Amino acid sequence: MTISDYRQLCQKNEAENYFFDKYIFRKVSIYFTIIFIKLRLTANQATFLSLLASLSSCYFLMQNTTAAMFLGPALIFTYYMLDHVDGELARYYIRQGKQQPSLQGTYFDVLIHKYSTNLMLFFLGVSVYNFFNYRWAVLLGFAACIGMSAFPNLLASQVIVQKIAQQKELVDNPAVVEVLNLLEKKQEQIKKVTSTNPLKRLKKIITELLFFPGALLMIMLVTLADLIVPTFTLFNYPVNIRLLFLLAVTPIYLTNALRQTLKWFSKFAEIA
Amino acid sequence: MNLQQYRQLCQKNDSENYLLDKLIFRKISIFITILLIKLKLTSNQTTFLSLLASLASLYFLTLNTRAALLTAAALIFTYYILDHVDGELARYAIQTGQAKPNLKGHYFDVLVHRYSSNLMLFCIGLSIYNHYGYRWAVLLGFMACIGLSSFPNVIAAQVIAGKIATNRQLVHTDPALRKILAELETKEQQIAAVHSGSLLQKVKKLIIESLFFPGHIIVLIIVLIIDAYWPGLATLNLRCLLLVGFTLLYTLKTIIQSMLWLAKLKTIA
Repeated sequence: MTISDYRQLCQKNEAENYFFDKYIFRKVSIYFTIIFIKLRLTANQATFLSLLASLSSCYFLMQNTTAAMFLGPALIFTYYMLDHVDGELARYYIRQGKQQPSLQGTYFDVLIHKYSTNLMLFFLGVSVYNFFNYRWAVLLGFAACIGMSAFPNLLASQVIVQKIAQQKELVDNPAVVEVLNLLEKKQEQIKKVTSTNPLKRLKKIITELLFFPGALLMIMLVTLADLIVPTFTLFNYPVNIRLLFLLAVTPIYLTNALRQTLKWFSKFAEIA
Repeated sequence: MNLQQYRQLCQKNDSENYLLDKLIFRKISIFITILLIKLKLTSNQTTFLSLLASLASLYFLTLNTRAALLTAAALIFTYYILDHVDGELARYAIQTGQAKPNLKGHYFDVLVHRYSSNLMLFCIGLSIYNHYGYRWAVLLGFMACIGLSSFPNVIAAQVIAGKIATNRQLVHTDPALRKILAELETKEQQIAAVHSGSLLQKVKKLIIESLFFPGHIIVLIIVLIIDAYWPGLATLNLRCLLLVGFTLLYTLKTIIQSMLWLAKLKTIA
């Protein structure tokens, strides 16, 4: 089987929902997927390895030694690669008839997602504290973590699913359908990635850059940048790149969480 | 209208799903509800006040003076009482035809729940750090916060919502999905346990409530009051023990919840 065959079989191809994945990560991930297939590793085992990479990256992220600042980003890269590989493995085994599709893999995958970028942001705050002894940096990291968690969306899912559980006929109610469609973003994301409208594409790239998967890339880059760029002074405060990054993204993530909350308020006001 | 009529109109009564609420908090909350009815406050305004009380408590939780600890305990109590009052006001407004039921209030209520006790535990970690200089306490507080956030459950809801969005018919046709939806609706089971005649079931329910929700709020208030008057040992106070206990308990709970969901969701294609 050629690389192209593997790509066709394992990757999302026309259903790709992130520009970053389409143009960067999928180019690389397929090679790891092929190795994993040869090693007979399952999709869930790859997801578990990605969890280990993600959690261990947190340990290195909070330190400020040269080795730790290399290892942290390397483990984040490993985590994110494996995050692609697990899906590719699942598609491969399902299409080969070696595995039945189930929500278990999706759940495991989403669970790791929700315990990764946000935790990394917190530990980035701890690293700034360890470096400069700024106590508020821990709070900054924590606020970024809370903002990044997309908790308003997760809770909206819980509220609507419980409502459907109570009244199954509501699943066809137009207001409920609208909420469900807003929660299931994948189709909308695919449309934007395949869109020919440059403005829509640009907006999608900016969103990816600011949130997911851009935040992961940024955490890697700012940690590596701090290895090269020496500490400098800003408004009489010594700062590094990681601190500037946290200062910039925390208000964005918190504002986004607030925006999400207000959106769900208006949507839920229409459902009895 | 007398007190009994207000209780009948505003409270859950036979639908009460927490024993601690039935035995303690509903006894008090109705008086605040009546007061807020007279003041013409809406349920959403009350939820907002409970959010303010909860967020304000965070500041005092990080401090270690007696006044701060007692203020934090009072604010947490206020938050939790208002958390009952908002529901009672909503029921009153709906029953008297002043408002129509909608999911907005419920969402707001759940949101405030999710941004309250978990953040409080994180701040307890900060207070221990401020008092003893233990850096691990901050990490422990963070872990307890993550553990208490019930991520496995809300993520399961997101995955299920996504599945339903792609094929709404599954709600009617897929037995595995229907089974999971039935399990998600825990309120009915809780109500049955609260009103069950079996003493064993009630004791079990009381233990679960004491360890998790709403017990952890009561435990937190009690620990804060004790720590306000007891200076603690040279190396630890009651909040240290509470944090260690809660972190272990909630981390374990998170792992178990995740494993259970992994097993359950395997049955859905």
